[in-house]
Amino acid sequence: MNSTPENVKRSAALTDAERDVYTWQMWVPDFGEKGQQALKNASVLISRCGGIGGAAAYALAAAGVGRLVLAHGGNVRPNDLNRQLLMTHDGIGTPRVESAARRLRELNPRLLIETASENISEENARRLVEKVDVVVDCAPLFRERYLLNREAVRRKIPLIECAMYEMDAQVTSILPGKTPCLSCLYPADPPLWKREFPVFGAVAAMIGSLGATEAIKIIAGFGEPLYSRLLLCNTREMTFKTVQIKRNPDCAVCGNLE
Amino acid sequence: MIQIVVHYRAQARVAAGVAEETVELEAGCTPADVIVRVAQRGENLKRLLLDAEQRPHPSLLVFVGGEQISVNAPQPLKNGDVLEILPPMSGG
Repeated sequence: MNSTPENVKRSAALTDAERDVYTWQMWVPDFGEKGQQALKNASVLISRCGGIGGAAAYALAAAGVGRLVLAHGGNVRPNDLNRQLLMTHDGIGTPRVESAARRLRELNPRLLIETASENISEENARRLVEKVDVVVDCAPLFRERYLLNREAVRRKIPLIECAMYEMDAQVTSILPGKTPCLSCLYPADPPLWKREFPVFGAVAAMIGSLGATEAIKIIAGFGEPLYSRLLLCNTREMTFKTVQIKRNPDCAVCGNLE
Repeated sequence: MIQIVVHYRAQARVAAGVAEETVELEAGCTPADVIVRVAQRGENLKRLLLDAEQRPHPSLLVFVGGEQISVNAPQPLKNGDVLEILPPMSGG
């Protein structure tokens, strides 16, 4: 685990330099300086900063989120590079989180970054989720996603679920006790899901950016997050729609939560 | 007999080889009946959609007319209903 010295929640006012950088987005109605301040004070955990998570991290770094916690194990491989936009050819063979952190700091030197060169596991899930205000789940394996879901529900913090397969992608935002959680949607481990599957980086970046947009809205408290709604994106036909999703009253993870 | 329009998404579309199809079943059929029926298209689709007991896998998201329903709900379908099958997906 590598962390910056300022591994604490900040509440400093925006500086003139920050106001300069974020001018365009502070023009967004209902966001403004108050929203920017909320982003600066926020911490977000991104589980795996690959195709989806890398794009989400980049957008959140650009938007001025104060602190990102990146969890992703392993070293950069050549077949990461079609979609993991924070990784570079010269980083092949080095830890993915190091490449990601370097790229993010180039974009936003004010950003506090904490890196864990490990994927979400039973050993680290609680510790990592306890550090943040919002979680963005971009992991390929459902055992990691279920652990994040469990810990986010336990802490009652928002969890943004981003996913993709081939030319399809989807995103929803979970507010524990109010919306379906991941286990409401998928009570049983999917039988045929594999870590590697067909996808373009453009599709991954699209859904990562949408996940980041959800995080920005939730942190700053404006707009309508995808609570109890699932956004379905079919980029093969370029059709997008949202569908209502329901809590499972018998859910083993959140069924007793109000 | 009634006609049900089945939309396949993501892994289901790849396994089915089509994005949608119309199937005919007996009046009073449920979403589970439709899924068991279309799973017979091939082994890949069957393994994706059905569990060891040959019932629809609980990890499937199913929508009828845009409304989410439990995959094994005893809800009878109507002629012309659109049933959408969405297997789980994740990140990478």
